[in-house]
Order: sequence, then C-alpha cells, then structure tokens
Amino acid sequence: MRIIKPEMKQKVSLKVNGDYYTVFVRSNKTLLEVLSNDLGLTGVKYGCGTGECGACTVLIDGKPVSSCLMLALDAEGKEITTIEGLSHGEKLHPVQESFVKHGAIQCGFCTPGFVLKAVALLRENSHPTEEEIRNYLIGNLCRCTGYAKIVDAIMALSKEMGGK
Amino acid sequence: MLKTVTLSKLKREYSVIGKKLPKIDAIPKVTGDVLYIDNIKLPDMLWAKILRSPYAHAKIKRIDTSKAEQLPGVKLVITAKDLPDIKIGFIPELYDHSPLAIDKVRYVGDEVAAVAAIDEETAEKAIKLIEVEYELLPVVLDPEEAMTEYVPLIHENSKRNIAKSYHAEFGNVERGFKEAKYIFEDRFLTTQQAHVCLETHGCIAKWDANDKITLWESCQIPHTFRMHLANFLNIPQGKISIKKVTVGGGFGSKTEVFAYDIICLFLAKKAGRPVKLVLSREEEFLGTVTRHPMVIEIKTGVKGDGTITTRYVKLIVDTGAYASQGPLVTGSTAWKGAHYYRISNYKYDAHCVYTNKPICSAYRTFGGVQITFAIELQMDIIAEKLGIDPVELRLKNANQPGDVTVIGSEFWTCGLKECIEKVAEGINWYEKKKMKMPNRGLGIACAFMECGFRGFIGNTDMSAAFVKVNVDGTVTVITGGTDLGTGLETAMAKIAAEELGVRYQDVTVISQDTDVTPFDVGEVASRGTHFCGNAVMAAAFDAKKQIFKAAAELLKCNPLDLESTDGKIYLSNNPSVAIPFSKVTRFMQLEEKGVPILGKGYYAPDSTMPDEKGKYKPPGACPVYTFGALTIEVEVDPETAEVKLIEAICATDLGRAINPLGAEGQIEGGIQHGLGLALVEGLLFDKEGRPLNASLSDYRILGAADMPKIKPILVETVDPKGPFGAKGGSQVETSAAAAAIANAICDATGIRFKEAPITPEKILHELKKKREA
Repeated sequence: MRIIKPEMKQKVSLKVNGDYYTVFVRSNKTLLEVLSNDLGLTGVKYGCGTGECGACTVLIDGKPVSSCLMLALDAEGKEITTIEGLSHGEKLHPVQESFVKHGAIQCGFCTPGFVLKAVALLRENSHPTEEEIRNYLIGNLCRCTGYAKIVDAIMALSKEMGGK
Repeated sequence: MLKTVTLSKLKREYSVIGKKLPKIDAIPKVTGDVLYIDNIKLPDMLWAKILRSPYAHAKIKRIDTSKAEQLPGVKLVITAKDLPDIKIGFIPELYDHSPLAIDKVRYVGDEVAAVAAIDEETAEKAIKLIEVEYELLPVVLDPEEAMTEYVPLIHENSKRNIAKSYHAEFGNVERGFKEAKYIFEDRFLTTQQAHVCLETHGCIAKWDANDKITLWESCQIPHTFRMHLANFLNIPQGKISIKKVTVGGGFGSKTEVFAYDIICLFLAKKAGRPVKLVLSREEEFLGTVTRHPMVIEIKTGVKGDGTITTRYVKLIVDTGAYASQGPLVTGSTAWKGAHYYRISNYKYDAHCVYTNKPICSAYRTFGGVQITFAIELQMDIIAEKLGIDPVELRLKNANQPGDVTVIGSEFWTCGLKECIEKVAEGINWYEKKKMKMPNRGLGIACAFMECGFRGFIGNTDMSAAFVKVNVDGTVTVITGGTDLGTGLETAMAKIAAEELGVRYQDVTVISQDTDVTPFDVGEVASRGTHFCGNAVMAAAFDAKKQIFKAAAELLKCNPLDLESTDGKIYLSNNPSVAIPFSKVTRFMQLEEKGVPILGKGYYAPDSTMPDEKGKYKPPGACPVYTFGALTIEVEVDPETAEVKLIEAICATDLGRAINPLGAEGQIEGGIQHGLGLALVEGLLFDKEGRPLNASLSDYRILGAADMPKIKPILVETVDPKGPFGAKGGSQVETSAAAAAIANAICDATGIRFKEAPITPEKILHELKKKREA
C-alpha cells in the first residue's frame, strides 16, 4: 500500500446565509463537511452521508438539497441557506414557530432538515394537502415523532396562511 | 412524599400540569443551536477511528500497525496489547467483551485496532493501512443451532453458547393445562431491529495529567454509566465526570459503556490529548447495539368460555456476539409474559444465546415488543378458534385495577380495559367488522410495560433531585435523569413549577453532568416521569417548606396556612394576604441570613426483588405499571402485497400526562418503531455473517408517507404513587403496534404470519399459495 499525499486544497467562496466565506477545501469535501467543520454551523447534521436521512438538508437557491451529496466546490456562486439563516435575530421563522408550538420536536437532530424542507414546500405550495406534505417529506427521516406532529405543524401553518 | 401528593391534590386545577406547552428545549433545537456530540470540539483534540473485523468469527493471527504509524498526522495506533486487561458488559458475571479483540473476533464489526490522528480523514486513511491476518472459524448465526451439541463455541467458557438461562414456574402449569378445554401452541419469530438514532453514537474522551477522566457522551444513563466505567477501569467515581450532551435519539441504544468509550479513553490517556470519535452510519448499524431477535414458543390453556388460565413460554433470545444487557432483556421478556391477562399458572424457560452477529441489548420495550407479538397474535388465533370477537376476548381476560399477577405484580391502577374500549370505539371496530371491505383488515393488540425495574442495576431503583431557588425566585432543577428528546426536562420543570407555585418559564433544568447531578439509575424502562418526577416533586416540596417558613415570618402567620401559585405566596383562606415568591427568596438569601435555598428529594419506591423462585412480593419489580392498546386499519393490495396503513388509534394508560403534547409525541413515535419491526426492518446477513443491509439505503425505516394517521388517546388513571398521578409512557405503543399490524394483515388476507417482518415478498408468496390451493 502507498501513503497518499493529501490532495491540493482549492479556494472556494461560499455565500452562506447572506455572508461570503472564503475557505480552502480539498476537492472531495462535501458541502456538509465544510458547513459543519470549517464554518462551524451546528444545525447541519451528518446522519448517513448517503442522502437518505435528510439531516444535512440545506437550501440551495431556495431548493432543498442534501448537503452530504454536494461537493463544496459545486456550491460556489449559489445562495446557501442553513437553519442558522432562517430566523432573524430573536424572531423565529413561522415554520420554526409552528414546530415549537405543535410539539414537532423531540431529540431535535432531524429538526433543522425538516424545517428547511417545510420552508421550501410552503414556498412552492402554500396550501398543500396532508398527502402532499407527507410525500414532500420523503427523504427526511425521523425516529422520534412518527412524523405526526411535524405534519400537524406544517398543516397548521398553511391554514394560518389562509389555506383550508 | 404522601404529604406532597395530598397538598397538591387539594388544588382544583393545575397551573401547568396537563397543559399543552412547548418543550423547554424546543427553541434551541429548532434553531440548530444545541450541541450534539458531533458539534463539540476541544482544543488540541485528536480524531479516532476504529478498525473493525470484516469476519464474523475468526482467529487473529497477526496485526501489523507499522504502516499506519508512519502515516503523517497519525499520533497513535493501539491494539488489545496496549490496553489493560479490561472486559466490559452489563452484569458482572458476564463481562465478556474486550474493548479491542484479543486472539479472536466474534462478529463483523468487532473492534480490532484503533487510531488517533490529527483529523478524521487521516485517521480513516490510517486504519486502512493496518494489516491483520485472520484464520476463519465456522460461523454460528442461528441461536437454536448455536445451542446444540458440537457447534463451535463463540465464548469458550460458555456451555452450548448459552450466556444465561432462566426457569421459573408460578402456580401449577401442568394442572392448568389439564383443566383447560383448549390448548394453543404457536411459535413466533422476530427480527434484529436496529435503533437507527438519527444521530450516530460518539464520544469525546479526556484523561488529564491528574488522572481525572472526562467523557462527553450521548448517553441515557450518565450515573449508571459512570458507575460501570469506574468498575471497568478500577478508578474512583469521583475521578470520572460524564458530561451528557444533547442526545440525538436513544431508544435504549445509549444505556451502556461501549468498547469505543474505553478505546477513546486509552487513546486520550496515551496521547495526552482529548480524543473524539463519531461513528459512521455503517458502524452505527454494526458497532453499537440492536434489538434481540427471538424465537418464542407459547402454549396457552383456555376454558370453553375464553377465559385464559395457563401459559407456558419458551424463549430463545439471540444476544449476538456479546451478552451486554441480553440476560436482563431475556429475564424481563419472560417476566412480562405473566402480565396483560389474568392467568393463574405461568411457566417459562428462557435462554440468552450467543451468535456471531452484532450485539443485541436494550431497545425500546426491553423485550416487550417480542413477547407482545407472540401473546397478541395468539390471542387472535384463540379468538378465531373460539368464535369470539378479538376485542371481547381481550376485555374478558384483561388485567384490572387491584390485580396481583401470579408473578407478584400489583396494579394499583390499570387502565387496560379502558384502553381496549377506547381504541375499539376510535376505529369503529364493530361497525367495520360487520361491513368488511375487500382487502381491508382491522387489527388490535394490547401491551404492558414496566415503569422502572428493581434489579436493573444492583438491587436498587431510585431517583434523586435537587431544587435550587435563586435570589430572584427563579428555580434551577438539578435532576439525575436525562432527556433524550422525550421531554423529561420539560416534565421536571412543570412538576417543580407546579409544586413551588412559580411560573414554568422561570424554571431551568440541569441534567447533564455527573459532577453536579445526584445519582439516578437513568432514562430507561419508562421511568423518567414517575421516578425523576417524584424526586423533583419531593425536592421542590423541601425547598417550599424552607421558603414558606420565611414567608410566614414576613406575613406573621403559620407556614401551614400558606399556598403558592404563579409566583405568589398567600394565605390559603385569604389570598389577599400575599407576598411575591421572589421577595421571600431575596429576603432569605440576600437581605437576612444569607441562607441558600436548596431542596433535596428522592424517590425510592416500594418495588421488590424476586425470591429464589422468581416470585415478587407486591407491588413487584415496579411501583406502577403501564398499559395500552392499539387498533389499526390496513389495506393489502392483492397484486403487489403493498400494505397501506390507513389509521391507527392508540390508547395509553400513563397515569397522568404531565405534558400532553409530549406524551402524544411519544405514542406517535413509538408506533413507528413497532410498525417498522413488523413490516420492513431487520438486519440481514449472508451465511458467513456478513451484513447485507447496514446502510440507510438498504435498511428501511418508515417515512412520513408510509406512516398512518395516528390518533393518540391519553388514559389518565391517576396513580396515587405518581407525581400528580403520573406513571410512564412511551413503550406500550411500540409493542402493541407490531402485533396489531400483524393481526390486521391477517384480517385483510386471511393468512396468519408468525414471523416479523411481514414483508410484501412474504405476503405475495402466501397469497399465491392460497390462490393455487
């Protein structure tokens, strides 16, 4: 076996939650690794590394993406939103408020991923049916809640926003 | 204790108990601010990786770590020879697990060597450079086969690969079967379910120059963990500090000292630097713990009218490569079999058996889901044979308040009948049974669960708490309990707030540090709310007594005439004579005597240890017991065998819901584990014991679109032993869900499946056979 030399690092500029960060990363680094390790964002979680659990969900130009499946270099020039960029100061985003109010949070590990997924859903479709919500959440796994209160939280918010 | 209960019960309405309030930790979790183990970094920290065995059973002939050691950035490579002679486990006579394998490996995933390096990537590269030469041994995967003669031993000192056996008889089973009109004998199999916490296990270990050990750990039982670790290392408990970090899912999987904890501690000691390890998802499946697959043979004697009198249970419990909590789970599963229904004769023979598979240990219900699967599927078989409705058969036999089971468990409260009635009504059982739709099916199952369990560690089962009241009247609850996302901290804050008469938002909870919190068995066996809650209530009462004494001085009255609500202390017969709570706490600590306000409380229940025959004196192993029932409607596609889950109704007798939102969430979440076990989950192995589905792509858990609509029903039997009447929750629904879905599939297809998971492949196969017949 041979000893592998560390790959060359490349400079990349990432726009995360409105701010620009310049980091040097190896080309094989995922966006998840850079956000959590290099930028120290605690809301982006490693759950599987294979895009199955959704704990690492971030919004890229408003669309939910599993950041464990995206290379950091590919995120250059894109608008990256993590859970940290969702609330404004002390004010929670309405989706966050609804999750808190409806008891949608247990261990909390999957929560940021679900919140971001819900934000994206409600932007696409402000009045989804329960079935549409459940189908949209495929790709985000939760082992604590059975999804019931997560679905409740999204339904309730949609109603508040004028849905049926 | 009794006094606090009485005092609190005088109030007509509670301020916070039973109110749907957001959890105390909800906001930091929804903003992503809370720190899980993977978020924590210490200065100068190294990263560890473990080399695991690729073989299920093999001798280690040679290990060469030299190439790994030469890799730049690698600080340390260790194998078994670098560790002192330590064996870990859960019960002392079965400490059978060397943290790094000595001479042989016993399952795919067994720890062989470990590396500490400057970063995770380097550590990962280094373990690939370690060369190990193995000599393969025959692999034993089937627990029944493992118990036969001439099968290779996984642990050389075991007899026929049996880690431990339990036998007991209560009443007279032989006579019971003679007196029965019908005897039913069935055999059921369950699967090796993985906990699949969304957060993978991990720790950060620090061993400083003063030999003080600090371990940041995602852990359900910090104090029991510390006690075990102190025993393994032969180090005083005071030299060990367990810092429990936010737990990203537990479900029983974080209730023991793991090999990786010991490995990281010694890496940290030798390197003189903190060492962090976070498992990959594949390691999470293989290198932590799982649910015991069981073979359950159950023989039940029934009278002509459907009265169940006698039961015999034979259990073969597959504990995998190491005993861990397997013997306790085996004993608990056998014990549970005497409950649910009013049987007067009960006997069990139970064996906990080694195989070359990942370790099995505690998992939500501690054997309950397996024994429930057997009992409740057989109940439907009995109902069908006798022509009795499954709901009626259960109502006829259900345990009731005041019952003392043949094994010695006494139920002060028991809402089982009410649970059955509510779930039957909720799903419209009788109407739907009358007008059966094609391919649709209804299923019901009951469940029972301990609340605490004397004997889980030593002969004890206790909780303790401190309540510190700050100068400004805010309150800090210091509990030995832990919150896994279950809402324990919320419940403790509410109990303290209610007892002291302060606002919920003025209470904070400390639960994470063994240097600060009092000893507590830990967050297992649905014990948090009842045990820790009683302790917090007693501590709050103790603090209240001190405060009322000072308040009485200020108000010039008798402290016994005082009450407090919403931050005010007042005369109970004349509330206009009042003083703010904060004024009294300030007076006591800042203005007058400088006396700190610290309430101390504990709960040591009246539960008992068994005699040599396995029988308990009432109330038995637990002070209180929880019950539940669940109905579910399914539709089975006759072409694809896809099982569509339409609706589930679940009722739980939890005594009292301190936080109804949290209690409902526990039910909804628990159902997912039960349905998953019955439908899709389970680790699979090839015949060499190599795992086939140790990833989330291949091991499915139910998603949002798979789950049925759930209607949780909280049955409040208000147990006099509980804090505000609370027992426990969060497990019966898992047990009931697995059995109810199996019964519903049978109702829909006419085919009785006795082995979980009931996959579409199995259903299709049987449907085809049925059509051809």
